[in-house]
Amino acid sequence: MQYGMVIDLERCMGCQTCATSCKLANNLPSGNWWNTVRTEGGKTIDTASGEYPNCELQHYPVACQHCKEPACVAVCPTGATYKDEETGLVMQDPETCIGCKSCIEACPYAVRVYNDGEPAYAMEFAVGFADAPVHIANTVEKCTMCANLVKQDQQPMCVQACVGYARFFGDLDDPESEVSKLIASRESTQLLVEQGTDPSVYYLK
Amino acid sequence: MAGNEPSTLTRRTFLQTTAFAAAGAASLATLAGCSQPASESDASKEDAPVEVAEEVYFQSCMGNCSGWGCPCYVHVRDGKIANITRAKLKCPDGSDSPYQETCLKGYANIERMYSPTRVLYPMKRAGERGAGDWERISWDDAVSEITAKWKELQEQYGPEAVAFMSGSGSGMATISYTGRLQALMGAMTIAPCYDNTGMNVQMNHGGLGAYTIGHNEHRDMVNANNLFIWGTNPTESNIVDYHLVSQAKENGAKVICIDPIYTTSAAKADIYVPIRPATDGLLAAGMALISIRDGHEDVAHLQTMTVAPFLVKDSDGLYLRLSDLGQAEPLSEEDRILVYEGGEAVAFDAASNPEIRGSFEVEGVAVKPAYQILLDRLNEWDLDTIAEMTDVPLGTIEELAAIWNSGLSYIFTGFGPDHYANGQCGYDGMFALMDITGQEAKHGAGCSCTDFSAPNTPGLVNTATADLVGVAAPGRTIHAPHFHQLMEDGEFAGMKAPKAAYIYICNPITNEPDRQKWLKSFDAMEMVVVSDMFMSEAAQYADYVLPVAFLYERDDLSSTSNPFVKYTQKAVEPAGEAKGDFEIITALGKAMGFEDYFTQDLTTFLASCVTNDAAAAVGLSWEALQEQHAIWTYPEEPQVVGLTDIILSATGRFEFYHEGIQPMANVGQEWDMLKESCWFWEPPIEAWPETIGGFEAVDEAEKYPLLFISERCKFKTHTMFNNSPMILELDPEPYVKVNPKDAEAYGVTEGDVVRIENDRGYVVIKVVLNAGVRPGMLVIDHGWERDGYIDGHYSDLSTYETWPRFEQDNWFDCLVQMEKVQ
Repeated sequence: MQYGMVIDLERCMGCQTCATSCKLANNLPSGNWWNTVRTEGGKTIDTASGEYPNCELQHYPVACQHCKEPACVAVCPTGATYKDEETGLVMQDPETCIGCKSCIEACPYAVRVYNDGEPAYAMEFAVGFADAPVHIANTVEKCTMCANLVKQDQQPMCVQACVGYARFFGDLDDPESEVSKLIASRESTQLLVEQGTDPSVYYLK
Repeated sequence: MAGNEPSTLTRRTFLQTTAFAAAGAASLATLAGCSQPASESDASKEDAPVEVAEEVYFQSCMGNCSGWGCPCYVHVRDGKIANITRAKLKCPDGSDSPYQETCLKGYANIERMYSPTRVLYPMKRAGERGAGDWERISWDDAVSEITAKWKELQEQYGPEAVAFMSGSGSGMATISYTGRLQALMGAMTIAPCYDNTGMNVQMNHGGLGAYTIGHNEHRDMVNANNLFIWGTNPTESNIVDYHLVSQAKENGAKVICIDPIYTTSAAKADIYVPIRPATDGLLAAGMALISIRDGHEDVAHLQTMTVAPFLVKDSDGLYLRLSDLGQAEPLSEEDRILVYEGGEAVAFDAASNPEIRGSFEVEGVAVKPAYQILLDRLNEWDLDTIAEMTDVPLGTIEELAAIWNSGLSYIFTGFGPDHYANGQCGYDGMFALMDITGQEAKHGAGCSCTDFSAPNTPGLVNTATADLVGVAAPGRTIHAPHFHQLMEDGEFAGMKAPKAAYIYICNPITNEPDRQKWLKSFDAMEMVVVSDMFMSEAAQYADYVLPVAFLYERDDLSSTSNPFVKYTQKAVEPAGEAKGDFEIITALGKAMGFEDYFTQDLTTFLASCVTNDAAAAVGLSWEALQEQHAIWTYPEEPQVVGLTDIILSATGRFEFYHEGIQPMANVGQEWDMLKESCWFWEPPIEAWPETIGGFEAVDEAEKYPLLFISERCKFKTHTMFNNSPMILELDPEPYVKVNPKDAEAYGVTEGDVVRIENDRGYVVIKVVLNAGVRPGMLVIDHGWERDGYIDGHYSDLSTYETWPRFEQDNWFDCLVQMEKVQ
């Protein structure tokens, strides 16, 4: 089994709902974002490049790509970053993580965040799902594909929340899954394929 | 109508403990700053599951943000709202409701609710206005001091010495209870004037039905062959609807985006058409002229569904009626409007093929069909001039007209054109195009407007003032564009300046144009009371601030723009001493001496709003709402005015001609009724910086050559969400978006600080380069308050000047200059 995600770039309008719903659902500390929406265009989010009116502007929602050949796992000295055999998800064990940041260096997608010291929060109490991941000082963390929700047969929060209906979740190894069918039926791309990581997130063009 | 699934989500049945596997280990944060206390997940991950008690309540977002009063579930743990999840409401046919997105802001509502900027207690000003010195007082003192002053002012100066002002913040049933007190006091209204042009033109055109206002309900968009996104950017200001655009596209629709700015909507469209600001009506006219030339006039539609054949008297612009010929009593039911057929004037409903062109004489009276008037107006323009004026090449206009006439065509508009003083010229042009080509009153053809073409649910009837008919009524209304004149002169249009104001669900100081005028008008009053959840700019300049309960802290009813009537249930107790509007108004009302009129409790009031024949007919009742929380009371089929829904215009037809049109407010302005009765185009009041097509640049352009607009961005709903840390992490500070070519010309680049100014004020702000901004324009996201800017305020730049027809806030009708701050 390899859980993965399909994101329809035609439907995605860069609204950031995946980002904020993830932030809430996972009780993310201040400054931490596991799910980001990046702009291909100008320097600042939501701005265009080119020469008016012939411009370019495209959004890419990016979180951990849960690669089949994860660069992070290869470099982790303690095994804190590992590939979960059952689900194919790339997981991160904060107990074993020593915060060396090798994984951050190795990951080509800039989706891992380091808790520099004790995490601070906007809220005085824990928010999000009651079983949201914990956040530990001096460790690295990232998107878990909402493993806590997936375990309960729910979809990852960003998929549940997507206002544009652009996100799909499922087993890439199952040819009958919605994600496999979408990949088969539409032109798609993975991010930075040349890195040899074989990401489990496919972007429909 | 069918009830809905959330019946499983009543408080009683959903109070549960859920077993979760504990994840992770080790102690959490120490209590530094906002670090969170250690949770129950201290145990190692192999430990037994922990049990977490969680209650789930059906709730709703506020629904004034081009959202659909978006329903959601809020999850309560330890007496706090801890999570928000998306609603799962079903349409009557079992499909998922398309009106239940929770957007990026919706998930930030917990941060808003528990923000340090919440007003927790009644506060009284203890220093200069706006200085930030406050004294906490008791509710009893607040109520008695405020009402004593109101009584004193009303006794001395009359009922209109006190004014009430509301906006579009969290609009729910309980908010309307304020109207009850206002009516009993006979207090005047200060009306904010956002979107008035955009809304009223649609209603004037007849895009007003019993179930839907604004032509086609949004769900109908998916049936279009050609979708023209025109005057709106749904990827920022209507993101909860963008999935309908996607669906239309997937159904095969061609998507065309017409906008001065290259937005994300433009980037995603099949065709992007850049246009000169405030010239949309001319582009529509060009497309109409080409459509007529190429034989796409829908004569039958014009004859039967529009006012095209109605004979208009040259002398006064009014319709020729049987009474003009002495054949009926004026204003009687028999007094039919006449049309011309077979060489004579006949009652419109007696004709089968009436003339829609020409000019005639009927018993010595010179008349024309209304359509001829429209044609005459259109024919004042030639296509080359239109191309020059709009800056859209003629070939593109031809292409747009060809696409328009190639299938079912649909305009998805918004309030972009509305924000220029000549906004009516834009919309009336679009509607004329629809009328001429018959692209309306069909599934997939017509028009939707952001947060306007919305479901209007039967059964929810506001009873706040129902028993006051003939007993009490509010005083007169002063509209925002003339409010400051009233305050400066003390008297205007027969009204006297109010001495006190009660401002609720509204932050006019930031959100209305020309902020400096608002500050002066506040200063001219003896007492300003603001009720708000937060210390908004208006609250900061008030004398008293009353703390209002958050949405999740009160029982309420809402149907805002949603097919569901929703009972949103109080999930937690209000923060501090905050109270719901119902309780606040009841206390103020009793203290004003209206004890007999404030005997209801909240439940009785809410129940009375859904206890009526229309409610009973659709299965709506207070009891049913207690169980189901959300009840669909709307027709299943997407409503289209003129097809499934009646046209509620004076003539029962689509009106591109407005007989005897009067201004929205008669304040002694110059009024050219004949000109305003049918489409025309004139430049906006200020936003015309260049001389084009014989239309002279405005004088201000010499000093202020740049056009400044504010974008309704996804990170804010007006000034809401300025206190959400996670939204501020994504969008930390205001900036002005500048085209790189303009930046070069002004010697600035990304990150530089500029001063933008005109005679009204200035703002000092950072620069962001955006190639999508039309050269000559500057764009700042709407909603930032005073504290966000390096100096000054963007709302100081805009003007309160308005067009004679509509009382309107024209934020975009604004010229400025820009210079680099060294």
